[in-house]
Amino acid sequence: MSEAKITKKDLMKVYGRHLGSFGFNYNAAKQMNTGMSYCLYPIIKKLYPKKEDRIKAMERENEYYLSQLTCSSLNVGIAAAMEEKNAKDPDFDENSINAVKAATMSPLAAIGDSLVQGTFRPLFAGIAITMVTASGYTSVAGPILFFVIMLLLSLIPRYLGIFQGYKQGAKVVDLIQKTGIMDLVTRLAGVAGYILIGAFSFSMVSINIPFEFTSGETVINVQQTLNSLVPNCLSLVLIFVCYKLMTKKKVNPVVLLFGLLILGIVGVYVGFLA
Amino acid sequence: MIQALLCAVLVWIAENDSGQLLSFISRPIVLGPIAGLICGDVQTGLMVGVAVETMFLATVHVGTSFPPDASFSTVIATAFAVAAGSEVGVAVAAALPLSVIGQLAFYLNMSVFNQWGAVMYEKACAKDNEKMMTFWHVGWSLLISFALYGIPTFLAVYVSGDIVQLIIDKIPAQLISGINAGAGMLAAVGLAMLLKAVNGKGLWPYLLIGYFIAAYVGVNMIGVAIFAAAVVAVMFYGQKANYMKDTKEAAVQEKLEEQEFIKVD
Repeated sequence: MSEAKITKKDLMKVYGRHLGSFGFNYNAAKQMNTGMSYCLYPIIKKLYPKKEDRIKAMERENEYYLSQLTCSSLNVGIAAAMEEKNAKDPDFDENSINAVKAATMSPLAAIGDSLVQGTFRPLFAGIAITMVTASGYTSVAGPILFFVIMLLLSLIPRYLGIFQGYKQGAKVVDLIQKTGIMDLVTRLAGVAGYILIGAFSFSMVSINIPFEFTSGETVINVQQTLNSLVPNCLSLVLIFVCYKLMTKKKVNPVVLLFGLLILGIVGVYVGFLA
Repeated sequence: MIQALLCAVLVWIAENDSGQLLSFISRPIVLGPIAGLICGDVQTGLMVGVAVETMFLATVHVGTSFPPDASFSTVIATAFAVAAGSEVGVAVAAALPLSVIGQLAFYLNMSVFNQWGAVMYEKACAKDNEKMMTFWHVGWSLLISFALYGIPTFLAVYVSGDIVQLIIDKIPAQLISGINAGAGMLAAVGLAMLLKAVNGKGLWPYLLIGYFIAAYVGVNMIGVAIFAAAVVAVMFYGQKANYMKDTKEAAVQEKLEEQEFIKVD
């Protein structure tokens, strides 16, 4: 039994450790386990005055953990709240701490990966790329904007994750899963992503085929003719081919990247690319 | 010397970012200009950053599968490009094998060095020794990432300068234009990967909408982004009500089930 109470200052310590080192020691066996327990140590130290209790708590928090970095903050907050209950209530089932973690880390990872890595990062990176190309490779405003936005998208949700996770406990994950609003958000992020990828397809891929036919006195340039039908349509075709090769034939993207590079070299030698 | 050292520190910071702030300083679009600044040519840095970023636009860390390393390769490629006098195509071609080496280093780190660190960390936990915990969790990770990424970067940048110029002088002009033609097409793979990662069943019409807005209306990317935001807003308000209704029904259903459960008890 402990009378210690977790204060805002303690949670700030956890937040600091989360920002500074959560993903360190990413290892093959237990993934992010050391990050989880290291983040929670300030709280464990305060809650359990006896050394053997602290060792037991650290052992518990050192179990397998794998999630996405931004969303893991919620798990950290929840675990902090549950450790506090465990320290105060002798009847508390300490196994439930890891049970909650195990049940919520995968859905949280799915949300984090699809929103942060799958949508926001490519979206803002794409805007930054366009800003750079539009300025003729002179302005660094795009990269700076990208960096600042992504930093805020990491700092703010992680602050909320730890503090709200602690305050609301496991309720908050439950809420996200039950309302289904997350599905809608993920889906809409996909819509925005596809519109933007479509626009990139037009502007970022470059292919030049120098084929020309002469019929009588007129010279017909193949690419110009195709472009007058649909502007830059070859790049759309190329993206479609790459997509099909990766989804249907399961071709490794790295192989595809090397393949295109070799195709470019061969193409210029033979003369069907320029 | 100082340039190589700064490049090494830059890669070191970037490689650790995914475990810390997650500010995405590790992305080529940010690293390119910084590395360019270090090497004295921001413009080339921006060019390499844009080229490598488009190539790896969709390197998504999902679960335990890790993509080719974009940060390690960007910094070295930028240093090469500056040394070779703005040969961006060649630098991008060099970035590709480097990114695979970076990926291998990551797996090596995860299964050997960090694994060892994690084991030692658990030993420190069993003794309730906070100083040793901090050493094995933070210090060890920083040391190893510097050894695995920082030192190779230093060597590559320090040694490269003259050698790269020498090699590029020997490469026939046609090969260089071939590499440039290939590099122009690499963005297609990045975009296809992104399509796969966003995973949108039935979303392809939006792809065409985006494409033709860019092609025929001719607005820039910010314009397209605003348009996309508007489309998303319209859909959100249209569908929110449905989702909310489903949720309320689900909640009612659950309460009924709970009550039945209590009765059976």
